[in-house]
Amino acid sequence: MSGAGPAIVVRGLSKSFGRFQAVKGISFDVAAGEIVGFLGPNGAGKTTTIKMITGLLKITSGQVLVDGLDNAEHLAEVKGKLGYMSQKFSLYPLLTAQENIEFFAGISGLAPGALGAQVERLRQQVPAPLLRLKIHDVPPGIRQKVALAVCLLPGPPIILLDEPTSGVDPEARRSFWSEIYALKTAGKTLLVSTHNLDEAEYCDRILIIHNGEIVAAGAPDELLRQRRKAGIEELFMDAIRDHGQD
Amino acid sequence: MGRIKAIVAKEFLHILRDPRSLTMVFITPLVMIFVLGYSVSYDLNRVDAAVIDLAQSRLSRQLVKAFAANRVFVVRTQGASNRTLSLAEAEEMLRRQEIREIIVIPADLSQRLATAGQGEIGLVIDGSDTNVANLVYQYTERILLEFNSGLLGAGGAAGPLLTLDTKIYFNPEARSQFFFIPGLVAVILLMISAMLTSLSISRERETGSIALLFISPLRSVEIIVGKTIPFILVALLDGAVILLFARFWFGIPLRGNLAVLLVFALLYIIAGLSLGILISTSAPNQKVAMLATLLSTMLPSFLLSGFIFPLDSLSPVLQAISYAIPATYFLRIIRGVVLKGAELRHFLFEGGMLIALSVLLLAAATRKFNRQRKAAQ
Amino acid sequence: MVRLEHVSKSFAAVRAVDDVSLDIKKAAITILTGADGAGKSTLFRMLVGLVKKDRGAILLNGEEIGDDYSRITSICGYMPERFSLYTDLSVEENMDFFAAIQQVPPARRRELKQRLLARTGMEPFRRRRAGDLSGGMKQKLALSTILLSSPELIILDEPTTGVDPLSRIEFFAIIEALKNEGKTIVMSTPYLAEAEKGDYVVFVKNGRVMLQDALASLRDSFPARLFRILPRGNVFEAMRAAAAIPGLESSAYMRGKFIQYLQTGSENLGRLIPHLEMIEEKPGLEDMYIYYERRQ
Repeated sequence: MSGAGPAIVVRGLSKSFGRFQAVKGISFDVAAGEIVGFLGPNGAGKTTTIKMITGLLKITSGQVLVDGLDNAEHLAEVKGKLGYMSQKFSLYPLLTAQENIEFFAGISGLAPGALGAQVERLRQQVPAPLLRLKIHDVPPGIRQKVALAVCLLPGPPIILLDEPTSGVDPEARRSFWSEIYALKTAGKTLLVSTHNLDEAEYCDRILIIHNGEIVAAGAPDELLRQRRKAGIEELFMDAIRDHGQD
Repeated sequence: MGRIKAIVAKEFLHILRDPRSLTMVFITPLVMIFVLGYSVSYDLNRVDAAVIDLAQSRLSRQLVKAFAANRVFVVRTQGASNRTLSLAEAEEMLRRQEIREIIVIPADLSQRLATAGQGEIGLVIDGSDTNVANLVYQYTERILLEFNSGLLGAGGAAGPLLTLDTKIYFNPEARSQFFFIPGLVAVILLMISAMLTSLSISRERETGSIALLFISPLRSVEIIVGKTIPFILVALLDGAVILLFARFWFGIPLRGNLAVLLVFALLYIIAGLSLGILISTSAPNQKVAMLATLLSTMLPSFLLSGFIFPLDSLSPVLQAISYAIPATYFLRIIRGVVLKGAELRHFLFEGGMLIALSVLLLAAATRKFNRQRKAAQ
Repeated sequence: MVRLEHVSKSFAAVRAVDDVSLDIKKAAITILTGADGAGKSTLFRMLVGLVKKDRGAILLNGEEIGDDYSRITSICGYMPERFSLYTDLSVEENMDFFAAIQQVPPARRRELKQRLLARTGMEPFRRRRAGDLSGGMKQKLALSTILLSSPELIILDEPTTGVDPLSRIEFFAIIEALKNEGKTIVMSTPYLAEAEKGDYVVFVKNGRVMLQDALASLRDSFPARLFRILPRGNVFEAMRAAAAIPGLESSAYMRGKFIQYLQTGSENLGRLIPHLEMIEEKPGLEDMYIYYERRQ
């Protein structure tokens, strides 16, 4: 982190696809070193927002600052600061875990020696024979770990994870969140999207997005207290109602 | 029957809800026929012709001069040892492709003109390349027409007239003037028809809705037939547009009966739609279906239907394959009706074969669909 | 109502469904839960004959159906995992089409359609194209189309995945009402907490049924107690320290600053109190799933 400011600043961010407005002028900050959960149903605008932050998707209007830099003007620099794990994990299904990592290390310009840490980390978590299988043939939980390793290869300080836990089994999901927590302890900033509302509990702060708008934002416990709700699900519905939507 | 109606109605809605695809269905063939139609009707820069002047009269020499004066024609009148060219010699030159045509001026030309008011000029054209043969014929005819008008001007309104008595060597059917465009119409119509249906089942496979059809009480044949019917109308309209374009843009004559042509076009379209639906039952997605349709309609129709290569010139194996290609039959029909004014009764075999092909293709599609349904995976 | 006995299905080298026996009780809600690829969808597809089983038997009301899947499909409504209706057709057109192919008599069709549109709150959207509906509304439309044939057995493959919570609650209200009308419902979900809305719960893992039980008896018979542990200082060190205490089992689970452990024997509990601040919690289905999974 270069300064003491927020890791990500989003201001009035919108995205339209033709007539359809996927993201409607949302604003939020992600402070350095926190885990922010980006919660909402499918189609709410989570992936679109994350892609706009990474610069993969052109912004219709609004602004994104990553570590104080406008991503429209300093895209190359911004990309160097971001690690991004896409929804479908984006690994090559016919290559093994090892080969995938070597490929992505190659395109990030990393020297083969520099892989050590990430590969070592993966070796501790994943049985060796599985690393030699094609990605296509390993369970989703393992695929997810490999995708995270790939995303961490260049050592980015800010990490965007789009639905990393979708479709994996409960045990793998819990251990994945341990991993995310460990990353936070190591000083990383994380924005994690999920459609599983239960996962709000793992986050320092949550943003609830619905129909392209952020309907609630804050620390989960605080939000629950404020709105006098027992669970995130009720909180979500209350927030939607407050927002004047159906 | 009510259930087929449900499928038909639904498919119609799909068609109407996608005006962009529908527009493409009508525009693509016109673009194809436009581009392909011009790409083959190139001009000839030089026509080598042998003239055998048996009359050796003032009139015949004038005629020879008229050909020789034309910028395209290169006229040869003399054979070996500077004697007048003989027919046998000229034919040999034709075989060796030194010349493209032989013009024979009969000895009694002037006499006939005087007595009957009409004289025939003999014309032998190398028909091995039908396109070239067409052009050679047109060029020759044009010069003769000009020559005729000269004669008319000299001899008054009811003056003498020269006509052509044409023989085409090596490929007698190439007598037609517009040989290529009707063939193109046939190929494109097949492609479009097959394309229409080929996407319909593969699309349901892609979106997953096929599972709901699979477990519905509908019989497989109802689904297959129901999906084919709505496209008959679309393809027939498309066919009419293509024919109109060929007629008015390229000036292809219609010598026969339009109704006859439409009846056969209907059978042909059904065969194409049936082919498409068979492809659709096998293709995993719309992309594969589209590629498979292009490959299985364009290539065989161009190469094995008698469109570019005459069927006689194909090996027996390829000839046998040509029987399975709907374009083989429609090509004969459309050329026959458009250019020769042929009637319904001339094409009973072709019509029957188109019906048989449709039934076979539909049965195969139903069988395939049913099998997938019974043992999905 | 429906029983699966020792059914198996392999795709190439993968055993998608491995010797599964399963009971689907009449007039009750049975919920299957497990990760993607656990075999839930394949099980459902086998039930309606979209996938042919390699081995095993399917019994309907005690009678083996053999190859005659129409005995099931004629009384069931099946909603696939992906939205499988026609996005270019309107709500009403989709319903009309499925009513027609299900051979619902035209006279009944109108009345049924009207009732279902009212019941699902879709009435104002009857002319909207299915592709323009929200995720929750799409699911309701899909449910409505299968209800047109008045099925006794309703099979729903992940109907609530990725759907907003309000729609999910409305969806379950409809399901609950259907159950009270005597319908048999079997569905799957990736959200373990959602499985608490069923009468019977089935945990599926790697193509096998790990556990199936009535929800109430699953809760009653759960042998362990669950604690949240509030660490003093470093979370990871506290986890390691706790893991060393006999009888405590790490669930490797972290909630912000908390670590959660499963207690398998209570004899050591007393020893722990001085070391760590502990809060007892009611175990959720996720905790139970992990507990049983480790004992496989």
